[in-house]
Amino acid sequence: MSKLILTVDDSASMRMLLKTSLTAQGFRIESANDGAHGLERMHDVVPDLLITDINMPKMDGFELIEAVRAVAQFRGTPILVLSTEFSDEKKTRARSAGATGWITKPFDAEKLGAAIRRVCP
Amino acid sequence: MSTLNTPDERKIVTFSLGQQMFGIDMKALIEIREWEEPTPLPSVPAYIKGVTNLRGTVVPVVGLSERLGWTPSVLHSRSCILVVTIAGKQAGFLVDEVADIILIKASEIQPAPEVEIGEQNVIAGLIQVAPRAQEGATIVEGADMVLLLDLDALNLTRHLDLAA
Amino acid sequence: MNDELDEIQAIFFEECTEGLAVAEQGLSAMAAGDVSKEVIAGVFRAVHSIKGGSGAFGHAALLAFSHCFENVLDEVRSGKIPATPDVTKVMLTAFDILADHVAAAQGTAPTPADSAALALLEEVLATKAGAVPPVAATAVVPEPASDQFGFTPVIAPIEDFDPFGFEPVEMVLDDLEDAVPLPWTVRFGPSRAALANGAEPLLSVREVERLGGAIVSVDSSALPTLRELDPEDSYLVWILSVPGTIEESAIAECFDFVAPDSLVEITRDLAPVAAIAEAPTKVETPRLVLVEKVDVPVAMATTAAPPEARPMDAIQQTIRVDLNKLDMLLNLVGELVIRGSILSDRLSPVDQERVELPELARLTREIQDNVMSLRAQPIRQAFSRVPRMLRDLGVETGKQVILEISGETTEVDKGVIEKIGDPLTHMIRNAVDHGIESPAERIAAGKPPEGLITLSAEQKGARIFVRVSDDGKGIDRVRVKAKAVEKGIIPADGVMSDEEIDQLICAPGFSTAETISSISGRGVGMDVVRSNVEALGGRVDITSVPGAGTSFTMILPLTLAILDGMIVRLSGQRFVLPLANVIETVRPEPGQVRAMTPSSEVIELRGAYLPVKRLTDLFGFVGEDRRSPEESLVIIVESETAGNVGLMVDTIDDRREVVIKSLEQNLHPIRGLGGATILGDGSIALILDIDALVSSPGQMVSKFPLKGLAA
Repeated sequence: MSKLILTVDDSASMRMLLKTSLTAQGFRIESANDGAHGLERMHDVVPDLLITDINMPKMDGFELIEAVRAVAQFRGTPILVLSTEFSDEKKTRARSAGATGWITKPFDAEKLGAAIRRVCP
Repeated sequence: MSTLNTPDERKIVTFSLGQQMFGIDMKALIEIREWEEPTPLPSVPAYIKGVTNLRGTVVPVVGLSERLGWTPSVLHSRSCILVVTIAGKQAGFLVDEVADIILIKASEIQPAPEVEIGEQNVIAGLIQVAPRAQEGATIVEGADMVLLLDLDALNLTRHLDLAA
Repeated sequence: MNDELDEIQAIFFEECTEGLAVAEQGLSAMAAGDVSKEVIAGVFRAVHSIKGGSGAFGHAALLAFSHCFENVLDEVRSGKIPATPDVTKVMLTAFDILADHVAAAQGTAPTPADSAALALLEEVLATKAGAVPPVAATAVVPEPASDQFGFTPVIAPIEDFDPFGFEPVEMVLDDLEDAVPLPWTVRFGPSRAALANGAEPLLSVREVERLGGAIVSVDSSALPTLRELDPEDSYLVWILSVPGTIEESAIAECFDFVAPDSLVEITRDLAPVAAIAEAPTKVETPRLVLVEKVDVPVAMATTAAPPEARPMDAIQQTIRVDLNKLDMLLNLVGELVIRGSILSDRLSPVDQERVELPELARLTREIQDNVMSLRAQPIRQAFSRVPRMLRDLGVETGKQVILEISGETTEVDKGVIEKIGDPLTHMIRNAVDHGIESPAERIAAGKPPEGLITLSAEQKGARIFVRVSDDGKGIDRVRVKAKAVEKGIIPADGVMSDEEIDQLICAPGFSTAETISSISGRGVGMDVVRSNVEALGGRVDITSVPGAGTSFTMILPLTLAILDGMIVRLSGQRFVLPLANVIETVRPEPGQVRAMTPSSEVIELRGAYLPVKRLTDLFGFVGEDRRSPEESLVIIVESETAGNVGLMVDTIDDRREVVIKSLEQNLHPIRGLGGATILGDGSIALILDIDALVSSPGQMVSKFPLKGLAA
């Protein structure tokens, strides 16, 4: 069974872009449109991997990751954060929130696939 | 069982309903069972005799004769049920007697003449068969014409309440 | 793929339009003096999203400008630049240019001259940013045509190792192009924290292997004696060899996500290899010995709480199982239940106790419950896309709709949830398109301008009811009938009840592609709803009141459910009554059941009168042995629509769990029946759907009544 990925992004085009490129690579995709929705969907979807944007209304990506990590069931779920830039500060922030890795926007399919392989067998 | 028939050839199971011989494609046949009274169902056409348990699945039993507009079959010792699969669904057809399995070429099937029967034609074609007396099958007199049934046209799952 | 991308791009532009509206609103609020955090954050997010998408779709000019604008907004958001009226003014100017850029990216306007606005933004950054030196960064607006990952961090120090923007190594490798590159040696020692956050250092090794690398040896010198060994700590260092043709940055990238305190050393092998003994001397120059240790500055390491190491066995909290395997398990459990019934049929109560059958039955039930729960999920999942859809439909149709959801925690089989998404979409779409009126029409009809759509889910016995109700104009039966005649679905002279006309909406070929949905991009047909639901073994009920609204109810089975039932006998045939519907059983005293009209009876129960129905009548069975009420039993059942009703049966055989077998698997759903089950002796008993049975007006008139029941 192919891996199930939950993508959380408030932009529908970004969600679709992720879905299109990831589906083409054989992943199954579920998505949510903000942090709060993402947290809710985590319980429904129980994905193999969570990919989340940072800047979102209601609950941002860091808050989402912290909330997800607080759930025992998801302590081991790999999480990738998606952002247009990753300074050291931002990487550290992501790590301390509980992220496993990051993807810089815009992404290409190959880099995306490689980043996923590094966190999700 | 040999599978020597070429794409051009088809195996047909023939059986009788009253005085008439019918045939269905062997590929659709799952098994032949003895008649057993099925559990009747409400709100179904009279030709659906009920449902029976076929190895754990619930299968409708159809009085084929009535379904085709003939008089209902009278049950007797050789009455049996042909269990067939139509469009992925199973159904049992009550027939009077199973006659033979014949191998025919597609070219031997003649198109059925247009007949006004008020619904989609269930006869896929006509086959001429030389009467054979061997193999213990009693051949009904004059039964040298076999009506090949179009099983898809006998699909039971179509909604009858709306079609009415 | 291109069409798909175009489609996504179109959505991006829609988002841009939305984003611009949000930004404009926010900036206007700021200009009016509201500089609250929420307002600024809203503007920031809007511009940020535009920037994100513009990069993805390759709109260079838009990306460059929005990036600069975002930088200013980011500083304003964090308070580094005060949101003074002057700053807001600059941002409003920038906003207009941004809108022009969006139009240009869409191809509807020429690329705007943005140098003046850029200069203003940069000035704001420069004059208000104090010690922060990001001025240069704004000039380094990324070249969009370059490598998509060449996005240089703006605030990060240049030494920051960024996997996607690594240049110098390439230069070095270019120098080496003609030489035979020596292999790399990688020393990888995952830290104690390497398994935190779902990370898996093994995957980094796998990535190196994808590049052609291989594990050469393991350095276990740091391994302490067993007594001193901390099982949660990490002591081993793996030594990998990677072909020299691979870029160092590519190798480093493999370890990018590895916990910061892990050891990652990438060195060019210096050991001379015979075959390349004449390699240019510059290969051995020290500058080629690059050591990269992924590390964070000390100051940051202290602020970031080091993630806790966890024992290995805690990693895997869930496993994913092939649904087919679960189905097989469910089937087997079903068989187990049936075997259990057979055993209890054949053994006397004493023997049952002796072989501990009750204990076995209890265990079986527990297994059953557990297996069933494995496939059950809250229906919320199927409902979650409805609010967004309604918003979109509202924009599209100009109809305002309020959504009320109930029962979203109802647990339904996963397979059912996955398959009701499409029907649900069609039902909602249909309710907005054909049910809810325009605000003007609603006001004229004395209704509030906003329409109300109620979405509910409920489990009743072995069925799930998913209902979409609207308070719109109801089904226009005259029009529906006319259309059905026009399409040749029904004859022009057909006499039909209202109910039958309503059903036509779901008739194949009734709805056409005349309504093309911009959301699904397909024609919307309620026949799709019906066929999907029937494929699931369910049915669709439609009720409509002219002027007051329409309800579509999907009645779905809990697939392969096991039902707690009462087995009753009637004219020799056995039926299963879902125990969930049963309230009590009464053996009528003479006179307790009385005729109210020639064709209806009532039972007097503790002073109240309840209608009594004979199953034989409901089914149109003409039983030869019509028993008197005193010889029968009346089972009081509870129904949703008809309240409590008495059902008259001959006897009660048993009470037991039965495995539901669908009738629709090989036939079609029959109103009044919830399926069938196979009893211990191999015979079939029909399962009654009490709600459908007693709620139908009059009786379940059978168009093709059975001649009688076989004994």
